[in-house]
Amino acid sequence: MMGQMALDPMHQFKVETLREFSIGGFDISFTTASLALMLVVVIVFALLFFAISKPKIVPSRMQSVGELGYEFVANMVRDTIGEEGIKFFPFIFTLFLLVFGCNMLGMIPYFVTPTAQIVVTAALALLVFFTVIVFGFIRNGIGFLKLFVPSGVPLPLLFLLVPLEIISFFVRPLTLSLRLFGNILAGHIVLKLFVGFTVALLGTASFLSVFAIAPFFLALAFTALEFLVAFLQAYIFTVLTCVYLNDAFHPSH
Amino acid sequence: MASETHGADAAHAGNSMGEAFPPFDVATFQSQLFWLAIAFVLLYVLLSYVVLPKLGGMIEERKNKIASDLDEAARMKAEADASIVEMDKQLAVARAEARASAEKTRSEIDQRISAASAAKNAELDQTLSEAEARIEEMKAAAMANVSDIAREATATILAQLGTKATPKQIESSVSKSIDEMMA
Amino acid sequence: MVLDLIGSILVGLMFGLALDHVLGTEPWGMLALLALGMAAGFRLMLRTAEQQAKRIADETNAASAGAGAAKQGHEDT
Repeated sequence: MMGQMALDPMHQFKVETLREFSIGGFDISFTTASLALMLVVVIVFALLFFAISKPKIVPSRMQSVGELGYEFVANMVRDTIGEEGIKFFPFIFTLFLLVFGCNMLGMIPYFVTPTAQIVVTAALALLVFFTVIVFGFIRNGIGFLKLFVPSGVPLPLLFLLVPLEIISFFVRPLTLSLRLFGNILAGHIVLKLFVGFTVALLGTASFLSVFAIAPFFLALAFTALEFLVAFLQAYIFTVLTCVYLNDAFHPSH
Repeated sequence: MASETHGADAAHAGNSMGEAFPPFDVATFQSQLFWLAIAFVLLYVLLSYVVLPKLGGMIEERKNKIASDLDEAARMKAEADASIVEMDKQLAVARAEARASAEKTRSEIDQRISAASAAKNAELDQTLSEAEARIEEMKAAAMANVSDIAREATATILAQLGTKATPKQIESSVSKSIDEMMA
Repeated sequence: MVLDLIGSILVGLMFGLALDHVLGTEPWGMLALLALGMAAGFRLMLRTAEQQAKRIADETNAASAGAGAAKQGHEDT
């Protein structure tokens, strides 16, 4: 069992406590997951700080990357919400960088991937969900409820459609969190399985070792795919956040 | 507390599940939530107060620079266009002036030529008419002489031939034949 | 897209159970909202499919004009 530990595809998601803390019965122990999150914050901030340290009109390479990220998210906000959505730009930019950073850090072996932890994705999704609700009511008052009333539909049909719209609205945090969680988790499991096969086949120390090359190349190809998924899932999470926030700005549709 | 057996009351349920599937290990949730909140707030504050204003400012500055450069270029182009127009105008004026002065010179020359030629023509005409008059005179004189000579010659010839004729007869026949010859 | 369907059914189920718990109408609230959840799930799925079809159509139309639109909805589920 001990020797199998490293090959267990689930083991990589195990959160180990590094330092135990608690405040008033609330467990705030510093774990490997906390370490990964802090590393993401430090790395993201360090890279961006480096990007803005020596601003030039003709940008350096780091500066271009920083500006690229800025424009990428800013255009996303402008396209889905409009100019007024720029108010939420720091929020969305933080969300994007945090999710993207966690996904990328997860590509490094031996690091816990925070976005493969259901609590993390659920918390982020709920944060978006409640931000939409709170801001929607602040901005539109009771008019925010128009979100659940499709326009141009005869009254009797509304009795059916309004419950459907409400259910659809409450599905959002669920799908938003599960999509990110599921994709990152599944990718890491599959990757780990291929690596595990390679190691296991090599470990036989017989003619079977030759076949280790097949899962090895599969793992290699899958790693490239996982980098794409890491970006794509962060992108989808952010775009959907924009789409949901758009409802708070324009509830009637 | 290296193992997930630690924890609150919920750890019991989380344990059986978390053993097989670590992401659902409820025991880690509290600390994960706490550190996620710290990470998110920290990153949010760092980004919105340190990074984004500067990054946005840099992009804004570049946009302004490009816009002002474009404005400058447009202004210079407008200036160039204006000076081209000005140059064309001056060129047209100069051309018109040149044409006018050429025209003037030509007409002056024409005038002078025509004046000179008129004077010369008049002079020549006078000379010509004088010459014609003189020729006419000489012709008349010559004619008069011709009829005299003819009459004398005729009288002499007739006298030598022994034929008698009155000067009147001679006169008429001679002038008649002269008239025939002259016709 | 499939996630929308499953999520809707789950949310319907949860709402139904909560309603039954409050009103004591077991099992009717659960059944009714399960049905509503399914309907909402299919509706969401159809809407997503429609959007994607529209996006693909737009992209093929505007292929020469340069892919300007944000490439929304690359959902890996």
